[in-house]
Amino acid sequence: MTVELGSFPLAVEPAAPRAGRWRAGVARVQDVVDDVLVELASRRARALLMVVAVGLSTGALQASVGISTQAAQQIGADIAASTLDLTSVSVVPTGDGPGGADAASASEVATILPADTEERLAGIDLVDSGGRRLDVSGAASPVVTRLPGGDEVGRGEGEQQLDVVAVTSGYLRAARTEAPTASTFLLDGDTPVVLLGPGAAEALDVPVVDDPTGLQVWIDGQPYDVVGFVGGAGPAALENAVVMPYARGLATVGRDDDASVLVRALPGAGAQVASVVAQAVRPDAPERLSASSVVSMSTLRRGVSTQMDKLAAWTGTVLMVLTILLIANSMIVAVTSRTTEIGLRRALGCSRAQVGAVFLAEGMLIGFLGGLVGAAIAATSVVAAAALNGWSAVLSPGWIAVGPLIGVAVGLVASAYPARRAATISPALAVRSE
Amino acid sequence: MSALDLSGVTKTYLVDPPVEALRGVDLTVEPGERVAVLGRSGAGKSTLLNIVGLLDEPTSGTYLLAGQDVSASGSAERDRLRAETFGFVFQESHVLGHRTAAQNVWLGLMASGVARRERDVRIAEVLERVGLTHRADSLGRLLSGGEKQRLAVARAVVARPRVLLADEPTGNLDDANATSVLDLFDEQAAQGVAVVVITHDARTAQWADRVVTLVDGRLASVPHDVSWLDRVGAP
Repeated sequence: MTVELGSFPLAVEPAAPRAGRWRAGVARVQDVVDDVLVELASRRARALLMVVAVGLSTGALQASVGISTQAAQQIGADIAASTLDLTSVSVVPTGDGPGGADAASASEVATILPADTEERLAGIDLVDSGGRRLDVSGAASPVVTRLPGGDEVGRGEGEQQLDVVAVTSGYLRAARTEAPTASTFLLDGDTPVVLLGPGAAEALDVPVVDDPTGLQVWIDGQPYDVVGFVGGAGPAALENAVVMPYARGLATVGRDDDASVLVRALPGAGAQVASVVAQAVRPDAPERLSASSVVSMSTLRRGVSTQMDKLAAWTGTVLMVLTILLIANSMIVAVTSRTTEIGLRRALGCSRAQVGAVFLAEGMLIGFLGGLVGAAIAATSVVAAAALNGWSAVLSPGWIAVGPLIGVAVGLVASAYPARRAATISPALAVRSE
Repeated sequence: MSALDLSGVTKTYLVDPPVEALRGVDLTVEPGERVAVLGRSGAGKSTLLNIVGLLDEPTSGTYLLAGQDVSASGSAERDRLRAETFGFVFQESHVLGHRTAAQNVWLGLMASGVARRERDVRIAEVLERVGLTHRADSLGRLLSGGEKQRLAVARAVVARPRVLLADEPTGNLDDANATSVLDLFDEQAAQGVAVVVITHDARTAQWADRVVTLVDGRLASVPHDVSWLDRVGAP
């Protein structure tokens, strides 16, 4: 509708139909984009610097999260490889003595762990190996000497204390402890033999040789033949141990409420084994045993991953904040230097919103381009870090695709204040400044 | 129907102490009329131009634009009217040096509502009219002073305004370029566009159909013969 006012018509626009308003809206967006592209093209160096800044920070965020994910997975895998399939079973203290249902089966001593514990463990489908352990030193303080009547080893000042440990051969297999297979079966009997850890051998002045025949140590005045040596590494921690047959240790201590069982499950079956092991060993009183759940290991793994992700995220976030400040500063300078232009735009009919939209769109476009660059940097960095460290590259396409969106968000936040500032410039004053 | 009609318009800047830039200005301009506004620095010329061009609001008084009272129009309405009704030419031209001549003219259409497909035609048309077709792709900073001012006129008229406001449009130009710009204004006036020019230049004042002068924020008509300006110098 047009109202004719003499020779000077003043158009009064009728309410535009919805389709027309939509087209007009699209055209306005196209105008802003065209305008911004011209602006960026004519200030290439500034635009390029801002794109690189966003790219670096976005890349740093994504790469650090990506690399930490890999590292966390590697750590988790390492933990899993060493401990995930292991279950430790300990006796639940009751305060009323051993007195187990299986007590009769332990020849002279009332025990909680039955004498056929290893066989019972072997009856569980998913068990690889398992065996008992009793720390004799903690319960009975045996005296260990190199020679009969000699000085006790491991009690003097400055001496490494020796641990007298009684185990079955199944325990050493479950712990993956290095031991001579030809002699470890002796641990399942009652013969007075020992295996020595490297620290214990040194402390007892026992030479570590392939054939230890004839070598002896004395425990509580009784001779024990040294039948081999065990490695100190691994979960058994036998570095300074004098390892004797489980039955002899049990006889020495007289009870097994400090004993434990180590069970190695087949790969991936740790949780299942942990859930049934007490029932399998003591079906009459499973409550007397406590199996340490592998779930705690999973929690540990998740904890490591979470902490590393948080660390990376915080590092990246700090970089992002710095980038936002950098871009915001640059755009504020741009707003100031373009005051006249802003005034001109307002004089030509642009509204405050249109003027602000130009700066918002500029920030978002720069952010988007920077995000693309950052995603490329992140993908390259993650793959490179994996290659250099021999890790398996973990590259999440979804996470990489988020890069441009992060860039847009950074650009939007960074340009919000400059855009508002530009929108509030008085056109009357702006057109007078040069 | 007058193109614009100001009645008792005042403008006071609330600084310390308050400055009364306009003190009851009455001004009527008809379509196609060429009006020159004279006045010393600080007389209120730019304030008047800003109020007429809806860049600023009067403190009091009535402003009818083509019969419509715009004295108390809201910001959005003023933006729309500015885009549809006014063209501005400034003394400094305000040509954006990092944009080409065509891109500078494009700015004049950005808020105009002219369909995108028509814009290139309009831009080519108006550049031809101001004699800058051959400079369409030249960056603004590479244009001469005269070319810049002609480009500013092109940008001001590309949206086909009904009122053309110019602040010292010939102040920085030599005679030939000043004549060229005034000729472009004549073309606009001939098409019914009301042209209001703030000037110190005697020849521009002579060119106008009517001359008014601002003294201490008050407007007065003066004889059309302003040859006295040449004798005493610019006010």
